[in-house]
Amino acid sequence: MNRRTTIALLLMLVSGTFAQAVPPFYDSWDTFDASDGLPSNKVLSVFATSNAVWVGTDKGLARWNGKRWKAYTTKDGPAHSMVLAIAQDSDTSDMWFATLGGLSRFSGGRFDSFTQLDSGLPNDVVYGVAVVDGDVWAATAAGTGRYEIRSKRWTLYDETNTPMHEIWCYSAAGCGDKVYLAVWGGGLLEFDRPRNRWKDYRDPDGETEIDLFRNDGLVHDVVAGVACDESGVIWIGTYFGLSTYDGRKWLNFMDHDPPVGGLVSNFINYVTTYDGMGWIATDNGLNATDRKSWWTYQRDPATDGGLVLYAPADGPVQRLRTETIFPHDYILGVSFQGDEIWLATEQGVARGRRTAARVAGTSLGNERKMISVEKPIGNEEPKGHR
Amino acid sequence: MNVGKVTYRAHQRINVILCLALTTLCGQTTFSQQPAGACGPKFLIAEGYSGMALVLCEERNAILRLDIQGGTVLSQALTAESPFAACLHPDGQRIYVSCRRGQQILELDVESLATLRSFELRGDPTGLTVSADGKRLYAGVHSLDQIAVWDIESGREIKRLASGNGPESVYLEPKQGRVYVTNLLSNPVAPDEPPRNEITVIDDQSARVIERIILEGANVGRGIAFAKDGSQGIAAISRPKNLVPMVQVARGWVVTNGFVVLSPDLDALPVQLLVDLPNRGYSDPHDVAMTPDGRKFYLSCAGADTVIAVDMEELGKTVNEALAGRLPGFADHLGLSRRYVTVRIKVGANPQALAIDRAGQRLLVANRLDDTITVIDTVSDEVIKTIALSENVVQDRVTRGKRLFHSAARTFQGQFSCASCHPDDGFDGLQYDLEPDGLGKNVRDNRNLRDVAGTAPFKWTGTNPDITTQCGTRTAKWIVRTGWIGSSQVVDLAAYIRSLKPVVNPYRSIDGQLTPAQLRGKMLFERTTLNDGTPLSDEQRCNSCHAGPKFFDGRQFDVGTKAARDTKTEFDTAHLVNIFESPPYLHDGRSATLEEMWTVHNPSDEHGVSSDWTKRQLNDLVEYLKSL
Repeated sequence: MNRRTTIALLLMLVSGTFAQAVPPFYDSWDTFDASDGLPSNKVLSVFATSNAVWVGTDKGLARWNGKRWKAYTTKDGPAHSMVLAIAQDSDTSDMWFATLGGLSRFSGGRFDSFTQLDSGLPNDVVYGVAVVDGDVWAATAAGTGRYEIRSKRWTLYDETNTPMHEIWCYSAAGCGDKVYLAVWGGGLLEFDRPRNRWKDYRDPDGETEIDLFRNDGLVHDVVAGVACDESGVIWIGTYFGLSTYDGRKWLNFMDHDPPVGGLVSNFINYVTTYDGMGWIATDNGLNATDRKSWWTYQRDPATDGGLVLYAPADGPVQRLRTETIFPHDYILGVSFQGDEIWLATEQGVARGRRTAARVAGTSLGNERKMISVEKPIGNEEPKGHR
Repeated sequence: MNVGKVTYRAHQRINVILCLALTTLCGQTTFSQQPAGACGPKFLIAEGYSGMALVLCEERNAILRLDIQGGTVLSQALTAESPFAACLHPDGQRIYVSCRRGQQILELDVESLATLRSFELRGDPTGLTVSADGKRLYAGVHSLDQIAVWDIESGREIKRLASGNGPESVYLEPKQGRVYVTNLLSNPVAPDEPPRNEITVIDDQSARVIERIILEGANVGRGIAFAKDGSQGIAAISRPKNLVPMVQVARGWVVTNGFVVLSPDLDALPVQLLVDLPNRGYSDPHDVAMTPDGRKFYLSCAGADTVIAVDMEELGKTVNEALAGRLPGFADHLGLSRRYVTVRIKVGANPQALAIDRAGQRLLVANRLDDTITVIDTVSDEVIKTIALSENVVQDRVTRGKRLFHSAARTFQGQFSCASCHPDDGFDGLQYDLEPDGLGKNVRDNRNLRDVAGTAPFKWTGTNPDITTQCGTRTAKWIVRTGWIGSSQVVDLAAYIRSLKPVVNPYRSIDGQLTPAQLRGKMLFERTTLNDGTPLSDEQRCNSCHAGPKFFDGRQFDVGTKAARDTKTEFDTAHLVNIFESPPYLHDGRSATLEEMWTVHNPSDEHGVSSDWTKRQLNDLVEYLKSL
């Protein structure tokens, strides 16, 4: 081995050590609500861009510029006050909003809205929106509309031209050459863009609420959210558990498996990916997982602080506490801006920060302020606190 | 030629060598005298200190190099059809030319004018500019209300940005690092609201829209220029008063003409001001050129055959007063222009493009309709010379009519020309209360004139049997309210209007083949039964009334759209060629989109039977209609 090779190997070793993902431990939280300028406390969606955070509530939109909130109502903003999902066109930076009254675009300060009456949008009840390579996918209560920005053409996808036996579309996500649709009651639909072909993924157990065979396919057909990670794994949130699919194998998770430290609830409102992890917003708290180790965030009603479980892939579950936490365990959206996490909750939008890089008494390192680590908890620990 | 993955530099070398060797094959010609045939100078670039200028000829489909001193055309190269605008690359070696009907952007070698590459751009390409770092090209896509952004090195379009309504001029302001895009028409507004014209602002570094400057009450945004220090920008606009009855023409209330002052450094609101006088309009403001010292700018008023000089210092005082609230109603004030307009210079016919040489000594004015370039001394503001660009220009009826169409000489106090409300021979997207029959009665949507030949009768109620009637006594009585033009000139004007071509439809494939959705829409358009099999009567079928090559039948029908203040119930069957480009729809512009005609304004199935359509069928029909 010559000197150059030795140095290269050392560099690889060192870089490999430091390239490990920062643990998703957000220990400092604050909350913004109507008293801070949001149109409402009931936050339905959140999307962080490089320089702003957009929040959709039941009474309009708000934009955080890092200092203050600016609210938009239907008078000067979106098509409807209930803003259910938000997406950004990475090419143009235009924002797209799914509302109960149509699809809206915010571009350079101007709102444009598309409704079923004045455009090709399939239906005004828009649950989800995604922008994939210049196409806007609007998941609606009557199929999904694809709006090609360049040509201004609409294409409608429903039961007549896809395997969509239910037309109640909840969410859309791009993943390489494919677009995935979360269909509430209809499973997951995959659209191969180059081949212009559809494929559906359904629960092999039909509409039963049990999963007879582990990892045999989609965990349930009531799909509420879909996301794609950097490695191409599809994350599917249903009302009966979490499915992941890497193109060959399914890996499913439910709240009883493992019973402690894993999925905090089968009722998944939203799923997204960030920094190599899947983030799952449920009706009972928040999970983050790389499909091996798990993090669980919940409110501790006794202290109003946070209870965080860390379940490594090959060790006992550890319990951490934070002095602050999000305002409600019913979480409808998750987004990230650098080291900050933003959550849409029933009682405002929460911002989490990483002030503690390491955690005492764990494999994560040394203790910092506001963190205490209790003894590892056993499998008998009751799950959650609904 | 599309070069695919070959780098532009390699291609540039090959093409220049080839074109220098085979000049005529590349369309470039040198001249001992001015070339024959109409030029129609549409755009100008003054070439630094060289005393040369590049001129785009929209009639001749050519770019030519003009020696200003000698007054001769040195060389000429063919372009694609109807070249519209041009910009130099920062390297000084290349020039880009947008060709509206040619649906292309051409990359030319500045020296030889040889075409190096061409980029297809469907949708009526207009203004263009190159980013400060020379890496990106921005081009307006008029028909689709977008700005296309290319990576110049690869020749690949990288994104489309949403513009205002009909992007027109695209201008890089390097100090701020921003690209300003003016838009011809107002953003969509309700028929009873004043227009809201937009200037779209793009951050050059990120190539993203960062601001939309809304100009309340303005329409027809044209040229734009900034002072060299970037502190102030001027854009040409008009201010139509379409919400008051046309009888107010005597009070200067129909179309007023002016510019907007942008002060990005001060973060101040845009200030709109007029160049009209109380008894004299200066119609169709078109282009702006600022002197390098920033002391004055020039504004071409195409309908008035005039170039106006504005003193920036005096203008600044007026702007400050306006911003301080000491000039109420300044945007419509016909008396203010005396403060800042220093001279009104008569030039040739229909002056549009302006350019100032780098030394700031010479202003060049492209007189589009008499094929001349006026050269003005910027110190004395006197005309030095007029250069003819063509020999033996044909003066036929169409040419004469074109001049009439674009001239405000025959309208009351020169307030407007035909082109004021029909910019680019089309429409202005507004509604007008034309007749003195009571306030707000019989409001009518302004119709598109392009491809109007063969669609008689005219007027929304179909009372004018031909274009000559429409443009003759009726125009004199209801619109211009003056002596108007003689009968021979009316014939000329009608000949010009009949000659107007439709824009190239971006929804129609080049080979004419319909997409599957358009085909399904066509079947619905021509259907003879309802979805449940019930036969439709002739009157209930789309293609009964919208028949023939232009999809109309020349008759009037009650389609259930009579408004409370309409006195008629039956309206002219609109022809449908290029219907995609002219929202809003219906006789009073109540329908913002094609979809709304049936989803909102056809509750009783009187405008075709639409109540049994599925959403998919409606979408298909709209796709078909947009392709017509």
